[in-house]
Amino acid sequence: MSQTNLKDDSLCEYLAECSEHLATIEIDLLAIEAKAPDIDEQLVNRVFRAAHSIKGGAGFFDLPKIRQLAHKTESVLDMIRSRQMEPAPEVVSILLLAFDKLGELVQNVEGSNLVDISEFVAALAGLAENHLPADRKNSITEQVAIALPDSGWHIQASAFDLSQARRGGKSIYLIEYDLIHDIQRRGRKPLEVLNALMHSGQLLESVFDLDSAGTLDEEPSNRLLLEVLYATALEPDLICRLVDVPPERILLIPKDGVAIPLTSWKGPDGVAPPTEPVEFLLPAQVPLPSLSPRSEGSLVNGTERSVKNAPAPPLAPSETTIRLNVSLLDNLMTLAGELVLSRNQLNESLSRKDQRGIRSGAQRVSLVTSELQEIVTLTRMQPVGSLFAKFTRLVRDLARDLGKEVLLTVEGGDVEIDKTILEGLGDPLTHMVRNAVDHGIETPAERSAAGKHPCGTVTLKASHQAGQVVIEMADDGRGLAVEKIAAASVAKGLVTREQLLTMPERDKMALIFLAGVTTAGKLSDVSGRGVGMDVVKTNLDRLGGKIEIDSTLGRGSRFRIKLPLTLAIIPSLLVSNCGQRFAIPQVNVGELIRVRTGQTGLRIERVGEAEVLSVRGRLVPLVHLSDTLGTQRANYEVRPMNVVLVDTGAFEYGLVVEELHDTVEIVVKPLGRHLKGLAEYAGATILGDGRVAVILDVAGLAARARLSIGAIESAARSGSLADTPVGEVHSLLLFHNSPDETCAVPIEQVSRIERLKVAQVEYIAGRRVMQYRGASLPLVTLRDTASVQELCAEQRWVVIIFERLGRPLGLLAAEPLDMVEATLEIDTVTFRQRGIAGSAVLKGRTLLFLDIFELADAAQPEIVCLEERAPTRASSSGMVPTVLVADDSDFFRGQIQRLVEAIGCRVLAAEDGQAAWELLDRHSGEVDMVATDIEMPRMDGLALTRKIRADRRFATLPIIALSSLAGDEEIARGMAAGVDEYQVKLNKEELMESIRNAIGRRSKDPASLECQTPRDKE
Amino acid sequence: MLQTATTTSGQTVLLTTFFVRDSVYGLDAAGIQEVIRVGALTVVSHSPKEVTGIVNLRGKIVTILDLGMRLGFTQAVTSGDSRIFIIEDRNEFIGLLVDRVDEVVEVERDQWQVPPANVPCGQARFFQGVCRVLDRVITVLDPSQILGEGVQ
Repeated sequence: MSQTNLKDDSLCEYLAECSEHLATIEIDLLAIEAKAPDIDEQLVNRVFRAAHSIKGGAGFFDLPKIRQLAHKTESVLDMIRSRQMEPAPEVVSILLLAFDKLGELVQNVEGSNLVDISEFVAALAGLAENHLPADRKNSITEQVAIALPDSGWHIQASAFDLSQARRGGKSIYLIEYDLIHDIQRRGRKPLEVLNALMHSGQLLESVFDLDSAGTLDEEPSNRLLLEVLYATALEPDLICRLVDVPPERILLIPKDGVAIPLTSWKGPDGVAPPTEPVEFLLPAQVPLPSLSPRSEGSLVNGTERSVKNAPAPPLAPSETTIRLNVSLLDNLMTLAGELVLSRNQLNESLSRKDQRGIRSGAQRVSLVTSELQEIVTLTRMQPVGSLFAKFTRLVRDLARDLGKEVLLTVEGGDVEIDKTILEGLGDPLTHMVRNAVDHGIETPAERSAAGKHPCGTVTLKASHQAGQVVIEMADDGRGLAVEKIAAASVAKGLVTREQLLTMPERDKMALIFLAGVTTAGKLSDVSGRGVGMDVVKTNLDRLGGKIEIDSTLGRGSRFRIKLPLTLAIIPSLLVSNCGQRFAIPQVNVGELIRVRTGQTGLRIERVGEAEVLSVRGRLVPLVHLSDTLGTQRANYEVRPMNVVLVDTGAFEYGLVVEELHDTVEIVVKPLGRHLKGLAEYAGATILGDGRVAVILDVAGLAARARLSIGAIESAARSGSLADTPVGEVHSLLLFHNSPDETCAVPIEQVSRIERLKVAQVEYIAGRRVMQYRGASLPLVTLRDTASVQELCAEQRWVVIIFERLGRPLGLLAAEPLDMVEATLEIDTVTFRQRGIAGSAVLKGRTLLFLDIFELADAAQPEIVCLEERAPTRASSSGMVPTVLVADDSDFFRGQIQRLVEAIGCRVLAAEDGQAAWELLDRHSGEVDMVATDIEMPRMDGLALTRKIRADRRFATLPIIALSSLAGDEEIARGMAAGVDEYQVKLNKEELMESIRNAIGRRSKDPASLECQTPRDKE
Repeated sequence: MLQTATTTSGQTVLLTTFFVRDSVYGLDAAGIQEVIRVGALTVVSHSPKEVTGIVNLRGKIVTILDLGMRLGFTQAVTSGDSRIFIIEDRNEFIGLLVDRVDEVVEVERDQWQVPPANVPCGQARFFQGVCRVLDRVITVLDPSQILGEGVQ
């Protein structure tokens, strides 16, 4: 039937239009809300018109639910427009939800008539009702039938609409369109006609007169009538020109009277003969025969059932159609023509063997091709703004839920990016924005307290940079707690403490992208940040994107995502193995390393079965491409080894390939279905010579080679532990003073290591300082306190930064640096000097153990004087907290003692467990906390703990176990013995916090003191 | 293409016949896009064993299946006579490697017989039927079964 054809075509168009309208509505509504109580009429009008055209079309396509909902929103918007209602947040919320629902209905048109929308309709009607004067309240639910001269009534409209329209001084017309004669035969489209109408007025109602089409038994009537109830300011004499329908089919509906055909209208002063009542007021509940097309009743029921059984279609399918500027298509066409001409030229030149012609033809083809590529890429480009737009709503809703004030600012919405990337960006960005509002931005009270504006800001910014798109998401919230992230990562065993030390701040923040950190839950407890950030990272990796974090505690965070413009064409490194070429996407390639013949033994080490390459102190696992492909390895005795350091996003490894070639731009093509399951390939590409090369997926390849983060970690760990089988292991940082003097400090004492040039050292006011993080960092050398040689300018200098009494202090030292884990006997006699605590021998070298505290105190005696008063302060407020420290190593015991004393505590020191127990027994009422080493002669830390716990006096005494390397098993044993906490030796922050907690607890808990007293007397 | 072969009774079907090892097989000629020589194949390691490799067919990456292996024979040894049939199936171009192309014959659809009962079950699903042309028996293959679902 002509009607269905008509519908099929136009329905799609209508739906596309609806989606477009809905996309802008949300932004406009939020803008309206932001401007309240002022009303920007233009904005409201725009939303109103959008809702209106959705309604208009829905009537035409017989989508009652969509029409009803659109209609209700329209009514509310109309009241906002006419200032009968204020766009308060509650109002806007209801409107937003209604439009969301409308969007859902539009997505799922077939099922839309079965969806329950009563809740939304009621909410909207309630809104309208609340804002109406009492006498008009009924009009919301009332339906009015329009009286027609011939058949009584046929069409009906809401009383509210009619009265609203009349209030605006509009005339109401009933227009009868014949779809076949008035529209189709004139080459017009029904939607166009409706849209034209809506442009200059308001469609109140539209109904198909299905009877007009005749029934199957009768002759086809050749007529298909659409009745449109139309409110407009146009006078009757003008309306004919607009609607292009014979005047006898346009009826004027007076305020109270039977509709008059325009033909018999006599002008404003004309005699209108209304004698009988014309408006039939009917309650809405009464079923109205003409409202739904009864003749189709059974058919509708049939489809209803099938729709119900059908699985619900996905809510937001990714778009399959795309709207393009016609000029782009024209350009493409021109280029295609150009390409054909160039081909002809080439063919002709080839047949004539005209070398010059061939050359110029090839040149032309190449030119056209690049242009073609550029334009085809353009067709896939979409502005980022369309993605950004949806965050306004997200931020608003989330902020409202959380009781926060957050403002979203968007910049660079017109930056364009490939459609696929844009779609893939949606989820990660949503996650990040959500995180920023949820965890980043503080509550208004917290913000005011911190001296910030109570309203937080989240900024989304897009820009072009060096052929990439950069998307920036920043908030001015509390920022990332870097140290907490780092600590959590260490606790999870994802990084080692040594790695942390040399890790730039930025990399530490990036640790939140590691899977374990985020899923741990522990992190979100302490810092509240980062749940699911690993998913964000994975998603971005898939898009070939990179993410960077920049964050200042208390000031906010900034995430920068760098994305390629398109995914279809990517730069890649070509490598080959056994004559077969492979492409590795450039984003995965970190660096290329060539291990020369003869050096393989030096640089490549074996850890069990695995091979690792040491790259600037890091151990990088190696994967031989030959092995994963099942081919013979090349003989690296006679040829150099090429290693591509690849980064999977989660970890890096070295891929050993036979040959390295160029970096080229490749076009990514999908593999066929028989090869889809192979994770080690990301696709295939056609090379310049026409042959095919597969694109390697470095993560998949690692999985194929059974490489995982765990294996890498254990490889690195077992590598460094190989020569230290037993005893207590200390992690030491080794560095040099003069080239012959190797010094060592426990790694825990070091807060950072920075490289510096000799020229960076300044001499100001008799002090040696350097600029460091915007402040002057005092510098010391070992020569300041001990008689050692001087650092010479030829060496590469580093600054090892320590902290003493809360202030940073830099020790000038020289490379090479090294990190060792070793069991050492520390000799505290031979080399003892100010600044040197002792010495030990490691692999035939004498190591000087530095005493950081002595060094610092010698360099800045005045600070010590200032801080010496700290204990006095503590004692004036009560008692001096006392900590019992047990450690068999003089060096470590001394260092721990100083650390604890620096906080203002008294220290009882014991050289083993037995001594500690005796001390504790003697000072039972005084000791607030025990900090003990685990490995000790006579009585070890665990035995000591058990002994303490067995004594009722010390049931609640906090015990901290200090250890250099604590494995999970060891921790479990400690906990079983009764240890409260495991800490790494000389970790100042943790120790201080525990002491503070312990003392806080004891001063609040006098019971623990009292219960000791009777025991003491016994 | 499949429909034409199965639904038109009383009509003739053009069969492209070819050799896989020593047996003659046929495929509906209408389903074959083109026949190409075996050119530069790129081997994909870890692929299913019947995948010979991938080739570039005018900008498309086409997976080549060893028809012989699919039918249960040992791996094909390509020679100068080897050809690849390009077939479009489920929006994808896939190549079938055969040992030698024979001829194109016209057969009546009615004269097809069901595959003999002693064909092993594993193979039977690949066969649409058998027909006699002159003195030869041609096994007609079902392209969509041969090409399979691939890896899910």
